[in-house]
Amino acid sequence: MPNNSDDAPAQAAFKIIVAGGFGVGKTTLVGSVSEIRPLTTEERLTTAGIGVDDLDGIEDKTDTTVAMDFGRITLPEAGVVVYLFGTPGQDRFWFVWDALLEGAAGAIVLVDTRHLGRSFPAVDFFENRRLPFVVGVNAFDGHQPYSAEQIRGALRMSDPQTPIIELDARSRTSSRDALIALMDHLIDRARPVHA
Amino acid sequence: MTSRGRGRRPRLYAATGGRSSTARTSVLTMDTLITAAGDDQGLPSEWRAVLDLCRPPRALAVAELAARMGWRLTPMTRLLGVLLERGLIHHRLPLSPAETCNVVLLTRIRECLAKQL
Ligand SMILES: Nc1nc2c(ncn2[C@@H]2O[C@H](COP(=O)(O)OP(=O)(O)O)[C@@H](O)[C@H]2O)c(=O)[nH]1
Ligand SMILES: [Mg+2]
Repeated sequence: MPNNSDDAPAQAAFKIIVAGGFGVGKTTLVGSVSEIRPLTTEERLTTAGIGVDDLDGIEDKTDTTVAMDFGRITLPEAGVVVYLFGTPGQDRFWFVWDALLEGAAGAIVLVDTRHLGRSFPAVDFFENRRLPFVVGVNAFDGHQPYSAEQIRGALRMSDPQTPIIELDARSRTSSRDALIALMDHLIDRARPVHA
Repeated sequence: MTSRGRGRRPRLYAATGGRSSTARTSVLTMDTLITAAGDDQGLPSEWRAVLDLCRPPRALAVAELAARMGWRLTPMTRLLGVLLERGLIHHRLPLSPAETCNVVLLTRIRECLAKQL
């Protein structure tokens, strides 16, 4: 009976994931658009023997602490609070963290063209999960040398509809534009298909 | 009951006799919004600290309550499950998949983002 209480908060959360490799600008982007300074929450994940009940530590498994940071944007007129959750960067354990992905509307995958490969796992993961996303290319040196098609190829993106945009995560307007590009993509996907 | 100070372990087990609701906690995902409800006289100070963070009209996500208390997600979710069972909080689930595919709602969110940021 997953019900809201009678006097439930007037707004509901709208969850967006910000993913990409370590140092790619996730926390920076969240901070650029958030109305609060980004906060961090930790969770303990068991990385081996997942799905196996705890047997007093006899099992050969490792506990890892993952930290995600997040920010929020309250939109009273839309009746939602946008929560932006940044995936833990240093490890890939968040891929098994179902709770992080559950209910997410979409994602922004940040890419640093100097380390394209670092963002491949995120692209691969969201494509498999069919979570709509946009790729945000962070131009660390002020410019980045690749065309959208080259990036699409390097990241082995299979959906040609997935937008690729350039951004500077330190800029509020640039980060906002990335969010809006994601919203446009979500709107396109939600529209009935035309013949 | 000894105080452990500001740590990752809320004094949940001491206060609930070691039981916590698993049926209700599963409802409270990290992006469920929580707001305080009702009278909280005589509650443990950590419970009140959590409730103070989300007095109406303010509502905070489970993840934000955990972050602000300096706790991990799981113990916070457990405590909130107990508070929910006792009628001390109200909750609002995140948008459902149907709602996050609703063009009208998505368009409104887009417009508000463009206007507000
Ligand atoms: N030049 C440039 N630097 C950036 C940009 N985004 C982030 N940075 C810097 O890159 C570093 C890592 O960013 P951070 O947000 O912590 O990365 P995270 O590990 O993905 O969270 C920080 O020093 C940022 O200031 C960008 O768009 N351009
Ligand atoms: Mg970070």
